[in-house]
Amino acid sequence: MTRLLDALTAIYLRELRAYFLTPLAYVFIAVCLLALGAFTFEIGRLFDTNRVDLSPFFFFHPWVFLVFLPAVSMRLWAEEARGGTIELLLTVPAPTIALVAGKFLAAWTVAFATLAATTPIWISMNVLGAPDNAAIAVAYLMSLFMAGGYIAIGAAMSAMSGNQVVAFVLSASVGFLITAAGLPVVGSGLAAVFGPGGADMLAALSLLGHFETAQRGVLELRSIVYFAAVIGVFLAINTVWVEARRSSGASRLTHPLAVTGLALILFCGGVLTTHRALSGARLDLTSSRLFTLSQGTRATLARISGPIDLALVFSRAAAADYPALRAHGERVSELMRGVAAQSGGKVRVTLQDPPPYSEAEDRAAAAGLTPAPVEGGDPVYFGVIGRNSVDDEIAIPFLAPERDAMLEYELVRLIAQLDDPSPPKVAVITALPGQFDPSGRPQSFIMRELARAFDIELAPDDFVSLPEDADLLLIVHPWGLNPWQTYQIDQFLLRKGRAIIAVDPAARAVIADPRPTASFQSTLPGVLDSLGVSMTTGVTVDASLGLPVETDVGGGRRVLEAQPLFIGAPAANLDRTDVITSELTRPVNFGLAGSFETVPREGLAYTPLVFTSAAAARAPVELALSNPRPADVVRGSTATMKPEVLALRVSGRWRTAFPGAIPDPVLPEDPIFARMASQELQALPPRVTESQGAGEVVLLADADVFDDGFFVNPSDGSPLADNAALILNAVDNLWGDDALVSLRSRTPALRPMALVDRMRETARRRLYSEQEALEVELQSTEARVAELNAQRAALGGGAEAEDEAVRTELKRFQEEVVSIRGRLREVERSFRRDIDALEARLELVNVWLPPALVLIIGLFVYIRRQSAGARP
Amino acid sequence: MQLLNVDQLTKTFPRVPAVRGVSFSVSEGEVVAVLGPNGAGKSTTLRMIAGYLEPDSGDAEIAGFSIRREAMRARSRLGYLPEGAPLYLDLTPHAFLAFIARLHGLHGPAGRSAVERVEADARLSGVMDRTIETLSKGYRRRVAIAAAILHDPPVLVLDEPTDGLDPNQKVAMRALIRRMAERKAIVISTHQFDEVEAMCPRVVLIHRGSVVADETSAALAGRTLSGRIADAFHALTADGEAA
Repeated sequence: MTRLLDALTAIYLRELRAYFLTPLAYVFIAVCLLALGAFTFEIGRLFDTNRVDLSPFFFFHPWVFLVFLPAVSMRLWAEEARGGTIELLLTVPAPTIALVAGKFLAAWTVAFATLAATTPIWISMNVLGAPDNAAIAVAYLMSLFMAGGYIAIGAAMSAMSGNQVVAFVLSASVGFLITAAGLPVVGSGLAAVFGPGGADMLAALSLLGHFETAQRGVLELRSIVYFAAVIGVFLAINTVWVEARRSSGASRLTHPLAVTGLALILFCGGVLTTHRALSGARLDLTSSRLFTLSQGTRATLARISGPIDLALVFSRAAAADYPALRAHGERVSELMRGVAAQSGGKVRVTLQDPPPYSEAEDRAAAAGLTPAPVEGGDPVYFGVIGRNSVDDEIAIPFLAPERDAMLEYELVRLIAQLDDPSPPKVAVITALPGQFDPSGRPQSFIMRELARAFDIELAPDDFVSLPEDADLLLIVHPWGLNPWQTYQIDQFLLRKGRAIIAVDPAARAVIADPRPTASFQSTLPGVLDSLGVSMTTGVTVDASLGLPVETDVGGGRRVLEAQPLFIGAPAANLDRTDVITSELTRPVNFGLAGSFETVPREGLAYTPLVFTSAAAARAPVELALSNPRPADVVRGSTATMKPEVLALRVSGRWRTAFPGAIPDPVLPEDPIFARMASQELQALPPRVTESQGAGEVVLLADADVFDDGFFVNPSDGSPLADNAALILNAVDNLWGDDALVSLRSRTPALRPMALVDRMRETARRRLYSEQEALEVELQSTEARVAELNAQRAALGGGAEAEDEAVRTELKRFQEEVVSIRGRLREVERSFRRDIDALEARLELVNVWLPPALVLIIGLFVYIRRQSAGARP
Repeated sequence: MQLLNVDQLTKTFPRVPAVRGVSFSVSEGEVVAVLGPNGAGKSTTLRMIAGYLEPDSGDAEIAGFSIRREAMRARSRLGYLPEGAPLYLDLTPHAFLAFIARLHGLHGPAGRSAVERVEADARLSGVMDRTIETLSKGYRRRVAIAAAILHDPPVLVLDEPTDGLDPNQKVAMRALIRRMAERKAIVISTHQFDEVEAMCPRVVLIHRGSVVADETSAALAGRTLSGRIADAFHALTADGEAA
């Protein structure tokens, strides 16, 4: 053992010298750094993403390593063979494996040095914002492992060929094969030949697939096993080829070739076996623990009585051409296995792969599964059918990959529903356009999401009573309610105590509606009063939380700038203790919101859920409606000097808003409907004057929170902000299922380059103030010029001296107008200057500086060595 | 005492001349020349002894350890100078010798003293800190010899140690070998007769992979009327030329 270590150390130190005491390693590292930096910034456009996320950087690692690392490892054995020194190495009393390992470790150290030299980019991210450092560390670690894989391959090829050029070509080719195996193009091609199993196996064998999981910040045991296996197998192959030099004849080729083949077969078998067996073993280091069963799931699984059967239906053969679906299928089945394991036998999971035109396929369709919209070919079913002990059946019709963030929630919701199959009922009153289609079906994102989990009942415009079996009332932009209907709302609130109410001083969705059927303004005066809450007048403005909107800054230039009328309240502006908001990671977007003020009342407690910064102001509704420029909004509003409340939870007991006479019901004119309405009135429960139990009401000072235009990505229909999560959380929480609340918003927070955002904001503010000052100056100067011109005209031809004086002054002012205009242009130009300078600085530090430094060190070492060698 | 015992070593190559059952032995204090025409199997035999090539059959014992069953022990008792004396040209003799010492498990003070010893033995003191590529051929050969005797092995196998050296360098090299001869068993492969006459009391003549003579150089020289080794060599190996 000591002999092995002695030899290993000796070779390791010798190879390190060979790399680092000659210019070799420095040139390689510098080229690699330059390639990585240039790709990251020029192709990956890291700076333009405005995110402190290094995926554009790690994305290029496999491809750069693929070329660079064979160049590092090609000399390891080929040089020994060429120089004959291999004869020295093979005749010392040291095991060959020690020599192989020592050489491998030395080349790996070069890779380590390369990765270490890229740390400026990691530091840069920390300067620019708050990156997920644990995730980056995982990616770095796996990148190092991956580099080890490429080097082991390269070293083996070097030993096999005994020639540097051949070794380079061989190892780049083998490296490419093992990397590209995971590419969709290879995968789907193979799937056509070997079926979906073949493509899956290939993906499991591919370096790329394993590195991609790591890039997301998940340390998977099977990936570590995989990389260790790549390194181990190729070091073994390396050893066999070195040892083969001792033998002669045909066996010098056939023997190591046979061993190589056997080792590769064992490798594939081993990796494929462990790939399945170790699929759940992972260390989730993402900051939002994206890939770990959450507390809410565990709570729900502990609560249910079971047994519940879940069948994952996935047409694998038909899905083979869709890598996104295939990858998602893998993720879903992993998650379901995890859930089954956690449930302690209460949830049982089966996988079904219905062949086309089979009974199984018909059963899947009958259970409510809808095939994916694919062009031609067989239908792809990808859904879950759940069944409980009394044979209730609920299905998730289709698991769209883009809904990945909601996956765990949907699954757990399904389990909870099967355990208690009657979904809560939500009655909805709304005058906001775009929420329901004309036939009353949910249309907006939030309403569709609600309909997935709850029984939604839209109250007609002329309702005379609210459904008595409703568990919760959702009011969005109430308008045109008659007193009787308001009284019904009051009574519902007192009896059931559960409601979400969104009122709005100016609903954008109404303003944008070409044929509005409601006023843009809504309120619910009596009911809000009874809760001790009032809406302020005007629109709440917050310059520090404004959402980016493209505006005209004059001179025909359009820039993205923060519109303070549209507020994106980030996690910091959400209550971190209330269960509704505590788990949200992304902002909640508001458009032309009001704000709430409270008159504290006995028996009632108020929790602000969403609030502005202290820099809030209030703008008149007229200004807000005039489509103003951000600068005009800031100018036209009055500071309130305190955070304004945009969403509020009211808890406790309250008294009716109708203490006196009860308003008369308004019956429909149609006699049949009128008769039905009066029957409804007969069935009404008796009047109550105070809360029948402790109530919980969530109030929102804006109806546009519900509007898709404020948070849904129009291109793919995915949410960009946590508006829907907020509302669904509120419904779940008010209805009483907190376990699900924690599951909802698990989308990782986008991590912006905060520094850049701040700089942009500062630059914009400076632009406005300078622009404003110069414009005022320009106006007064131009006015003075006009005045002087008039004066000259009045003087006519006489009074030479006086005319001369006026002319001189006129000339002076005209020059000043020109100079002010010039300064204005200059101010506009300077708008992006600081940010451009920052980008240039970042590129300098990350693309050019590291390779330059490495080269300088290399040059220094080279010169020193040269002069030492020349010394007599 | 026999320190090297070669027993029926055999190696076949597809196109290259093979070694067929070569046997000989060398005792302490003895310097034996392995003589033969080019391609007779000299280097192959020495490479098998050194462990660089694996024999197809046969064995050799180095200080009592079999090169097949106890390879590590056998190798650690052998100093080997490969044909052409390969070196790492980018290293200094100092770094090279330290590297070889570590490979032999000599590090720290033991390694330093071993390097100092061979530095003196091989007369390298002036050149220890120059890179090997800047050294003359004679010095390079001395560095290679120094590496072979670094771990003070009882058996030395030197494959053409003076090949390519100028006469002065040859004289120095011979002196070095002679200094070491007393306590070791030394095998030198060569095809130069003056070398044999100068250093080796005994000759093992190999031709076409087999030992055709194993006797004192005097006996070998006495086989011909002229009394010269060259003529005996020619008489015993002439058919090789005709083939």
